[in-house]
Amino acid sequence: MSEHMKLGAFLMPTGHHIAGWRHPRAAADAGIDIDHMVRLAQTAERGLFDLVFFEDAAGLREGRVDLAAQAARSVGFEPISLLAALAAVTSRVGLVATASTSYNEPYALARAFATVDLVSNGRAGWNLVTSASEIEAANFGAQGLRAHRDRYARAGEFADVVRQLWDPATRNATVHHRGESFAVEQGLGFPASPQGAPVMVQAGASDVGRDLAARTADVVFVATQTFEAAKAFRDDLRARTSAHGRDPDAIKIMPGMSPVVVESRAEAEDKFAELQALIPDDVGLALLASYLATDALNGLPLDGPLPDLKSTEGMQSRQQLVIDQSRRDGLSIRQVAQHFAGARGHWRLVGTPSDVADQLEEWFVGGAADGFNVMPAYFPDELDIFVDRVVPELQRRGLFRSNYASDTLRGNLGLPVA
Amino acid sequence: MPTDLPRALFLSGSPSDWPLGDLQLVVQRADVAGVETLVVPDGIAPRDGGEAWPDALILMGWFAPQTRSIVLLGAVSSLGHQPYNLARRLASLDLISRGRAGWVIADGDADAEFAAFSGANRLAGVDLAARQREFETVVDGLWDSWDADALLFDKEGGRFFEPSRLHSLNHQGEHFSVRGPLNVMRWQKGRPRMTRFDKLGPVTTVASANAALALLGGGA
Repeated sequence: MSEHMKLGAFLMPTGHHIAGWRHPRAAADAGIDIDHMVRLAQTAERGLFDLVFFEDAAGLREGRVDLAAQAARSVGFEPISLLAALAAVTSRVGLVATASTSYNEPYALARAFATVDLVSNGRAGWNLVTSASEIEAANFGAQGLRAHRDRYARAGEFADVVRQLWDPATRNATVHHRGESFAVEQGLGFPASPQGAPVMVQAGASDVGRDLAARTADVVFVATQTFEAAKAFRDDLRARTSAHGRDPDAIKIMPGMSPVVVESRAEAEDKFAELQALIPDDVGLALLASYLATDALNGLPLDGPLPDLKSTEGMQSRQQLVIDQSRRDGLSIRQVAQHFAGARGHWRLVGTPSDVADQLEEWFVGGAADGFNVMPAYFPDELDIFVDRVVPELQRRGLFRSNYASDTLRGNLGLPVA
Repeated sequence: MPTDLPRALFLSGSPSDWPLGDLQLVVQRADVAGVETLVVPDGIAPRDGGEAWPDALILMGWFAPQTRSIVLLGAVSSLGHQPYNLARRLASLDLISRGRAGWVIADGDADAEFAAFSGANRLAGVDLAARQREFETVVDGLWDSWDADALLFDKEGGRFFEPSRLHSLNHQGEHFSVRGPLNVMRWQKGRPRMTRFDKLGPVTTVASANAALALLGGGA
């Protein structure tokens, strides 16, 4: 456990709750308004967050246009260019974006992130994903989605090439790589930032995903909903990291956490119910089907239980999480759909600033987390309230920094310079 | 203000003559002085190692909030990109800069680009001119994914966009197969520029930050 917990602000244009954009105070046009994204990043910096984080998909998130049209997820900024803009209007907060190993070339991606790292003076990070969506695959050729294991084989080779290109000791030298998926005979040829190389982030929780993270990642995001599951995940990843000959303290595990912060517990149910009521049935169901990577829910009664589902080539670990929870709590399809639409499979925390701090403290002190990736339901209010009410409570308890310790992302995360 | 203010500036020369802080100063001064267009080079390192420019499109994203009116063009080759990704990044830059971004279609150092972008796996035997033509067609088509009035933001009715105003591309070609649509909204007043050097009109090439600063009438 480090002295202070790490905090990431997981920013999305309109919020993590699928219906968050419909909230009267949500900025619904955030996906086309750069000023809004600037304000969110500056709010995170005011709250001394380690980093802001953006997810990504190279395509629509929902294949049925009638459903996509009821949610706000079909438009947004391309995240690496967004990081570049945010680098100009922030000075301390880390800038982390997601990019796929399936639909990029490692040299192009390494160069883009190294440029963000340069212009931000050492604050960039890359979240490696392998892309599990058929919708994305259809934008990049006709071969369709690769098998899970094949995607990770390509991702491992991709990560190795990127790390060689980023190596500050050899930035003007030629990298020689010839492998199954890539052939690179080239160097980046421009200076490294003060943190040496961008931070490597991953979120794959499957067995091969964990091994890749243990070998290559500095930060791992994870969807866990109980202390026990989070602790088991962190213990496992630290053990795998040691097995790869790395210091387990050099990998920071940050579970996603979806807070609904209220001034009194009496408000809690109302505030949450207000959001849940905004989810249309068909939208919630489609989101659930997408997470489960299945079409087996079509035509089933919404008040009935989840059917038995076969393992898919999509997100294997997340699928199991959804199924486990529905069985554990005896939930109907509609209930599961609403539950997951609300927090997207992440840990939901509803309570006062003190309640939220209690829970974060328990996970952090108990060794279930090095920090948290905060996923507000809608923006900007729910990030503001976390920064204004929860952060001071964490600081008062000595759990969170009162000043940035470093100018670089590696420095603030307590990672060595690359 | 100098009387012979260039209309368009093309940054050129050796990357070591463009330290980042000086580059930033040049761009800010060019914008304030009223230079209309800035062309950012995107040269990768030579095959045998050596100096390179950082990524032009990322530099443009960094320049955008630091400038108000100058048009930001990246002189970028398509060889290291996929059309969906490049169309997205340019559309995003157009939003970030409020309609000031664009692509100068450039030929890079083909030898270096093959070596950097897995050319042996991806590009061997490919008709690069035909690939380039198809690439541009796809990018152009993806920028028509959203009608200008597609987004409704209707919170009460739960209608974020109007489905009939979103268009798939369904491109099936020799080199690319791209269903679309793009997941970046177009800038309200148009779309990113797509052009070539010979269509830019008079362009002043500056070979170093010092030369640029001298031209713009201010010391470093």
